[in-house]
Amino acid sequence: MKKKKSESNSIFIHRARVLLVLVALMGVGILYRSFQIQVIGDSRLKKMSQQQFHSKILLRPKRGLILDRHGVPLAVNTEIQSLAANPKEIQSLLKEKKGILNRLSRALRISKKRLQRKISKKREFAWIKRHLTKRDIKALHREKLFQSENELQDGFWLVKENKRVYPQGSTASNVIGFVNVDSAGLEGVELWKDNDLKGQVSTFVATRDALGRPTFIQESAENYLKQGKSVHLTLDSTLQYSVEQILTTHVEKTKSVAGIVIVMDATSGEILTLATKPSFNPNRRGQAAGRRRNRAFTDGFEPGSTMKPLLVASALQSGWPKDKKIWGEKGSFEVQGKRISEAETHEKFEWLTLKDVIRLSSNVGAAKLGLEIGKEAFLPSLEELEFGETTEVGFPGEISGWLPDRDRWKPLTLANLGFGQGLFVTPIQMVRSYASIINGGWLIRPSLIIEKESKKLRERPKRVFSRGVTEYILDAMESVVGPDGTGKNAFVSGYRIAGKTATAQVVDPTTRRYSKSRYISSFIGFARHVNPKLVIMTLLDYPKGIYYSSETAAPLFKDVFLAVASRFGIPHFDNTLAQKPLESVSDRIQMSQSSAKETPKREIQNGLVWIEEKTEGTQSWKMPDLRGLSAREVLSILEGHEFKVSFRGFGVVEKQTPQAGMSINDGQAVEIRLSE
Amino acid sequence: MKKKVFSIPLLFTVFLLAGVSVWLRLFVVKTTYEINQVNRMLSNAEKDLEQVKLKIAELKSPAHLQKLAREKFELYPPSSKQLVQLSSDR
Repeated sequence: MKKKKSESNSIFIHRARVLLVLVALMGVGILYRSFQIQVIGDSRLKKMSQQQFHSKILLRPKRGLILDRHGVPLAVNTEIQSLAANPKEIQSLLKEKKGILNRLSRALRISKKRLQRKISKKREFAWIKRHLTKRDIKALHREKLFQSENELQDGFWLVKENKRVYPQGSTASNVIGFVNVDSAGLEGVELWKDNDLKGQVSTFVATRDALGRPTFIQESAENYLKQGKSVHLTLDSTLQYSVEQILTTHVEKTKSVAGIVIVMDATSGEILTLATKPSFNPNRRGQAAGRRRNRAFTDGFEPGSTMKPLLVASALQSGWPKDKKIWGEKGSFEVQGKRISEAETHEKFEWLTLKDVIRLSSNVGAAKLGLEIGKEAFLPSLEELEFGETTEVGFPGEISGWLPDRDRWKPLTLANLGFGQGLFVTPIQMVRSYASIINGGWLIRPSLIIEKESKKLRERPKRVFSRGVTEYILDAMESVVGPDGTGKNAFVSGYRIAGKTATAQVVDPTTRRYSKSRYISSFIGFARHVNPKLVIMTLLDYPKGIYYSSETAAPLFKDVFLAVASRFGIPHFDNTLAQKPLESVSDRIQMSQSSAKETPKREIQNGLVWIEEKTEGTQSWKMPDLRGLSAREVLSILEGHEFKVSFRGFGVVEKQTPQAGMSINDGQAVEIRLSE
Repeated sequence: MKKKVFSIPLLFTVFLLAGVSVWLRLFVVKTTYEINQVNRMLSNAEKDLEQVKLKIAELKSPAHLQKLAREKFELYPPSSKQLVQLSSDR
């Protein structure tokens, strides 16, 4: 019995020892694992812990502002909300509450089909609508899609985003450009300076508590965040607005397809105004590409007669004597079997001085001068002016234009180039080359952005014409704006305006020949002996009806110049008003305000004979005989009387309505039929 | 005589240090919450400022001023004939 008891005790002790060993082994195992976790470390567990307590915070920098030269904001940022959803999470909600999709569709004005497409994807995030308006938020409340004041139905949430806003609307839109929904630059300065404007996205790690609030700021995030830099444009937004208004009026009046106005400081190269029409409002999405592009940089054209002053300058620079005359061939001559004629058939010039070539805008004179100075003088001059190269302003999409190949210059090439055909230039290239005429012969680099350490500041402008040459050209260009010049409608009382008109032919892409109905009318000019020295270019593409530059681009120049003179307080030469007592000044203002008209004298005025003043205040005139006159001559006779003049055909007047001797009232229509 | 392993002052110091450590951690957390709160307020104030600046820019834009001048005060841009310069440098 005793033996049996001692046997059972020894089994118990044995089992206890085994258990003890097992427990000890387990203890060692736990200790080893603890050592492994705490001391050696476990990457999987470490990752899990980091996911639970640490989170990466993405800091998006604010996009830099775009400001005008005076610091007026043209592009700024504002915070806006967007609606996002977790498609996986909302599937069950949509099954429970079937009307939710209809309500969402009504509130956001998005079709149900489109909404279904957005949320059908098997992922955890989907945008429902970006950049919600206040109206959208109200509609979401109205459709009861909010659970509480700020909380949406489960699976939906509002995300705060930055939105680009253009406070001046369409003003300078073709320069500023626009951004996409993610604030990435797509066009204009927004695209060009995107790297500077957007800054740099930074991430930093934060420890979060159970509620997800950051508890420890590990690093000062601000130190790492690289905000977007602001960009200062050279534009003057107030002038830009005025000029855009003027351009719109003239584009509408002439029914042109497009219009461009550039105002540039001829000394510094800073572009003060760059207006193009059509334009767009960058605050609205989905505008046509044709409205968005900046035609001053992206569109080329054959300049026409505005090339003549540059040709004469090249001739003088190459040593051509100032008093040497050119035979005008009485209106036309042939080069390589092609006839080169004056713009008007009645223009049969004989001996022409260089000034006459510019003042009378003689095609024959320019062609012959081009032929006489030859490729050796003309080509280097065009290359010096950097035609056929971009101006290196840096604006996206700028084209280089085109010059004929050096080896392919024939006599006809030279003749055509003389009057601005056979080369392709951009408006900005023309403005740049004309700036060298008013600034004493220096070819400056245009700029649109004010930069402290710009390439422009480091490089010296090159001299392309001597002072003597530019003074001669300026005198000639001033005569263009004189009483018998083609640019007389650009004349502004009190200023010495110099300029050049061009009514350039356009090649019809279907026939590959110069169109007989489509023209580009342009005018480039400046005021002499004033400061700042500004060069102004006005251009109207395909003006309808009266297409001559003298009647379209020149009056546009005049209006733009008045706006520029008013903005910069450019003093004029007419001191008489300042010397007169104030009483007479105020009298003059009253006169203009009441639109007082002087009674016309009973004498022939430009061929029109005044008959009487009607009771309603309109004037009645006797229609002159216009037969045999050119369209330009007809316009100079009928101008200033608000007649609605329309032309049909080309050449000289064959038929007119009303006929000669009939009476015609202010505002009445005049129909002119031309025949070659 | 049995050797005394933990003296009372040592235990007291250990507990005190542990208490200070916990208090410090709680203080840091509390301060961080406060900093975050102030940062949020600052950020909101900056956003308000941005909105105000945007509104000012819109109100001062030539287009708005012209509309205001035309509709409220019946003012129109002067024609070239109405512009009279009273002083001249020349």
